[in-house]
Amino acid sequence: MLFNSIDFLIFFIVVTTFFFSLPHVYRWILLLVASCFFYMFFKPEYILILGFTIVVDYIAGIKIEGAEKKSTKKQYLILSLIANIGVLAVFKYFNFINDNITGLCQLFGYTNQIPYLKILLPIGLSFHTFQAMSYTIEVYRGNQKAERHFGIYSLYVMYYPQLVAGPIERPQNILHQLKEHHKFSYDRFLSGLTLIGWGLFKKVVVADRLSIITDSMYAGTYGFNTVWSLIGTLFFSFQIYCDFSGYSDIATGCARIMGVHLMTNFNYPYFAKSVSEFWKRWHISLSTWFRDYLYIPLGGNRVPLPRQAFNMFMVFMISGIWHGAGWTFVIWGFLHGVAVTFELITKNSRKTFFANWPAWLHNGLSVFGVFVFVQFVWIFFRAETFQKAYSVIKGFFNYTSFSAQYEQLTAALKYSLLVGFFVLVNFILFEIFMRKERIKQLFEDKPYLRMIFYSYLFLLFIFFGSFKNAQSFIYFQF
Amino acid sequence: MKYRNHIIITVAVVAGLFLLDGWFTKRFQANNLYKTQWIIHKEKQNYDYAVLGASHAYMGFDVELADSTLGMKGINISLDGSHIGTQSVLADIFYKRNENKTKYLFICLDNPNLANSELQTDIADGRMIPFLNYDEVFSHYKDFGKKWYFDRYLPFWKYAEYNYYWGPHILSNTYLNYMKQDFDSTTGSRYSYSDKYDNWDTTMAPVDFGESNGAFKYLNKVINICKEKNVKPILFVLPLTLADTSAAGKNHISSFTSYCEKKGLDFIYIGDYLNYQYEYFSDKGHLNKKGAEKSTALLLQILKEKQVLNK
Repeated sequence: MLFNSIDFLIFFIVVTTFFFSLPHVYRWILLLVASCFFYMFFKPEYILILGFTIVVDYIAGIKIEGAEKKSTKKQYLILSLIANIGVLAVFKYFNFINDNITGLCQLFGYTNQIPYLKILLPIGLSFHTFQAMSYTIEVYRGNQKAERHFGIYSLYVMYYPQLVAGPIERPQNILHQLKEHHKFSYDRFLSGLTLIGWGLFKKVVVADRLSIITDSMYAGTYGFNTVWSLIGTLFFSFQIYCDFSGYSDIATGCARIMGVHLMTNFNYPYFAKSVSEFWKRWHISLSTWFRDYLYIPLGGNRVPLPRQAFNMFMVFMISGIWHGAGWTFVIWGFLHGVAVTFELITKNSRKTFFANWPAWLHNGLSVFGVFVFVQFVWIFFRAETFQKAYSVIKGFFNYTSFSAQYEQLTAALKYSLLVGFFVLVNFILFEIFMRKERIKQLFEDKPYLRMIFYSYLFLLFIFFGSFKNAQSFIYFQF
Repeated sequence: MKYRNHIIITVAVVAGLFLLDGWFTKRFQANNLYKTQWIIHKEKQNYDYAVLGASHAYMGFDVELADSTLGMKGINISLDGSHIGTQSVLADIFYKRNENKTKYLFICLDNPNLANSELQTDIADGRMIPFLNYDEVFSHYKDFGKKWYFDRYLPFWKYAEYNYYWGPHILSNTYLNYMKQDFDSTTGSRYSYSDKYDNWDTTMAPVDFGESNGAFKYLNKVINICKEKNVKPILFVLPLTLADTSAAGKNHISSFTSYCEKKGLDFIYIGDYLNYQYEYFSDKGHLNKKGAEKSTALLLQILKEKQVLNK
């Protein structure tokens, strides 16, 4: 079920109404049933996979807690990790690995006999397996008590707002909230609704509108030249940001109305002054997951610099693979890894070099540089193949006239191009202003200004939203 | 106090949407930018014939040539991108609601039209949106799911959903008229000849003329309208770049021909005429001006030979 659909609107109203009408003791049942329904709306049979990992991790959690010896605890943890990573390996990576084996075999004149699996990737698989793993790891570390209530534990994995695209929560943050009794709060309701509205704006008005142009550019129907490749690349960087952060906002808003506080997943990432800062602002729940469960166990910042750099690089390579089973994702992770490692190694020398530069110039150039780098690297994320990524990059250097190409576009594409620029400029201005405390305060103090702003957003929504091009959220595929 | 303010705001927003909906509907129903509007605005007119179909008929039936050859006055009410269901709605409005009169109705059967009875296209249905409060229109679309109920009854939802066709840029045009009309009432100039089309060799899918096909419901609806209004329906298929001439394809044509004979309907198939002669096409599905003239001439000649118009 997509957040940007009428089906979800009805679902949300019904579930929320029942949630506050039911006595507290029955609420977990309602939420669990609703979450199952929400997930099964995509492809019902894949709930069995979720069921499998839930059962394994639930038992593993109790066994880890109950085990006396550290080695026994470790065995159960490994069992749980194998179950989760195994599911990921089979459903997400098997065919990719098999593809590479086939390629290698062909290189040496052999035939790969391993059959391909004819399966679709279960929606949001990487998200809920990572959330499930964080539970058993935290129980193993002693930071979280094993959950004895099977229903509540199932809900921890399946809680519908963040089930298919995060934020990837930690048990310490969310498990207790799922058990607590939340009374209806009008202020929370309004605040949640505002967040949902903002998320929908990002998704429907910005992301889905820009996607019409990026899809067309990446399809290559109109060829690639400097302006077209630049527009497509720029639009995609905002499409993915608004798509994913829009989802996170809607998820956070829905949970907030029901009294559950989810972690912040985005913090103005395109204002980052370094690539490592970008990752502290982008998909924060995943970045911190990798930090807590991979980077720190590998030694974190306590090891010598070369080792630290190597660890950092490996984390980004794995992050690339986490996103998708394909070499373009590996390259995407690799490039981020190289950038972050470079920043780590040159930290001191850069500090010395820029010491006498005016802050505004240094900061401005840094933000611009990071933005350009991140945009460029998104090409590998978006392109289905290397050839396609190469065509887009080659297009940057093909200085042919854009006006001739513009004339070839269909009327619908021309419209989306113009509207796309219009909504993008609006969105960037909103982002700039919303970061300023002064503006926030002004909105707090003057309700009529708030009303004007909301009315303007609403008009943009109904006049320029892309409702007929309602797209699935990009991160669902991960 | 806070509750009261929010209730007032909510009521104001809903009222605003109702007002916007009414304003947009009024402006769009009166305007003539799209062909749907133009067709629906034709009231109490007398023509000798009308042509009904999708883009194939719109592009491929040369009304000017037919007028001069037959010495008649015709109108092309084909709508590009439409399927037989949408066409049946237009025929319904054209004949019944708006009391137009013709002697003949040429019904162009596009292959995909009959093969995909339930198929809807935004390009055609999107342009019907302001007329959703017409009984003829809503009674057709409501069979296609709850979406159409939302479109019909949620204030302004339909214009938000189809804002490419009915957004503020189109509303401003109803006052300023800076946009070129979206259609050509005759034929041929909508798509110019192009040699860039790279999919010439696609054989058009076998035409499923089986009676079990759901499209028959709509075809019968059009034929019944003709009966009621004493209009003679003439069914035809225009040339395709590469028509299906396989045994299965021929079988479909012959079974539909016998069906029409049984029902006393005239059916002319010239789908395989001009096969592979690309200079007559603007793309794999649509005739260009030259192709339209040639095909219309052939169609009229067959009508003459078979004395269809004299029956």
